[in-house]
Amino acid sequence: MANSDEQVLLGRAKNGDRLALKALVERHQNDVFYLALGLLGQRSEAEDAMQEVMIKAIKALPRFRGDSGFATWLYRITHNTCLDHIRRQRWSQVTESMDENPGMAEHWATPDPADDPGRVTASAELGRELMAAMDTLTPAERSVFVLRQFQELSTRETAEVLSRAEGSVKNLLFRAMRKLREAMAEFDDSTGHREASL
Amino acid sequence: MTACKEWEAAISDRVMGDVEGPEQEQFSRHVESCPGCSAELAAQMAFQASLVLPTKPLPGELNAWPKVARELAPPSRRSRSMSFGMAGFLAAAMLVLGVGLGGLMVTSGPVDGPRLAESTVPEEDRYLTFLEEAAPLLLAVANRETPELVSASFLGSEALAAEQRAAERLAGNARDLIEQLEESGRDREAQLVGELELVFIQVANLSRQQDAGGLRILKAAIDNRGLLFQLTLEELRHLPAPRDGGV
Ligand SMILES: [Zn+2]
Repeated sequence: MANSDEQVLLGRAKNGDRLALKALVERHQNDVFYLALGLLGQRSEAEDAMQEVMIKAIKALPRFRGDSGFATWLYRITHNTCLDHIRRQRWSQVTESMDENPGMAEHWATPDPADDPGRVTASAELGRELMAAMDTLTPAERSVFVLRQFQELSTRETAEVLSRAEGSVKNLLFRAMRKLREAMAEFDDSTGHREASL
Repeated sequence: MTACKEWEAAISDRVMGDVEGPEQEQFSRHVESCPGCSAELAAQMAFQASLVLPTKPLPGELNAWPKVARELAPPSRRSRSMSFGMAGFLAAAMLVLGVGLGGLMVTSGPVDGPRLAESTVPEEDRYLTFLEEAAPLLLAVANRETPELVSASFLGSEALAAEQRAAERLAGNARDLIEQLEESGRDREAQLVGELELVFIQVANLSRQQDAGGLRILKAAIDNRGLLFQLTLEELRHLPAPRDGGV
């Protein structure tokens, strides 16, 4: 995750170099946003969390010793910030407002003109189903699922972000996947949108 | 039919494509004879293949910096209402004491710090003005003992109120100045002002948190910044002679 270029940038940022701080924010904002989106489920909330994370990170930058990669450190701040958001708002409220909130829908499968429009709609629906199903997960299961699947972190990296043992990460992912599969199958049964084959 | 508890992690690894290692070899043998694990593995593999995740933001789609920069450097209008509070003030004291411990300054001049001649500083050079205003503020805090800082009489004093106003104003002024310095290629000066700006802002933010964690962060900031403050103060020593007057 960390490379020599990033080390130079970090060194300058730690010394308060605004251009370096700006470059760091720009380099990592998409990843931080996407992680927050997975954890919080709404674009507007994820954007707020992204801003908050960047501000926290800049203020805490002098504490960053490089024991872990910078991205890992940033993900840890993102994770903690999102958990704070969730504690404040509760999971249920997040889901209830999802139907009315257009933010999330914008982020399911950007339509490609070459694609069959019907297919795009179908994948958007699957995305919604997944987000709805993710509300059946415990916070720990959700965190592991998002870090492994959304951020494509390895087991070791995920364990580092969450300060958990690697075995625990694997077990949580197993449970998350099983719950999601069952929740989505149930959803399909009740709506008949898809073949309930899983 | 359910998967065996002890093979859950192995199923997870397999689904995520981690197929190397002795555990996976053992699992391969187990799954051949275990319908529960076999079914769960197949179901999770199919689920993994069908996963549709949200689209990632495109490069350039998000722009966090303007808001972040604004938050880090509150405009002077907004900073009028900023309250530094006791924790913030103690942190400011730690900051300057930290500089002192680093072997810097406070070695000469009157007890309440150097006073610099405003009239001899070129008016157009906002950088020197900024340093000139920052130094007495930092020194005024440094020269007070902690018991005095936390005493009720001092916390309600006009001296403190004046210092708080000065810190607020400096934090508010820093941003424009940094941009001006960067534009004219004075990178080192911009960096120094950026250091001081961040410190003032950190102090400002501590007022909202009032916690030990915030103080630790600031202490770390001090440790990291000793050299830069030394440079800043070295420059100050080349400025015109002290004059009388308070902060
Ligand atoms: Zn088995």
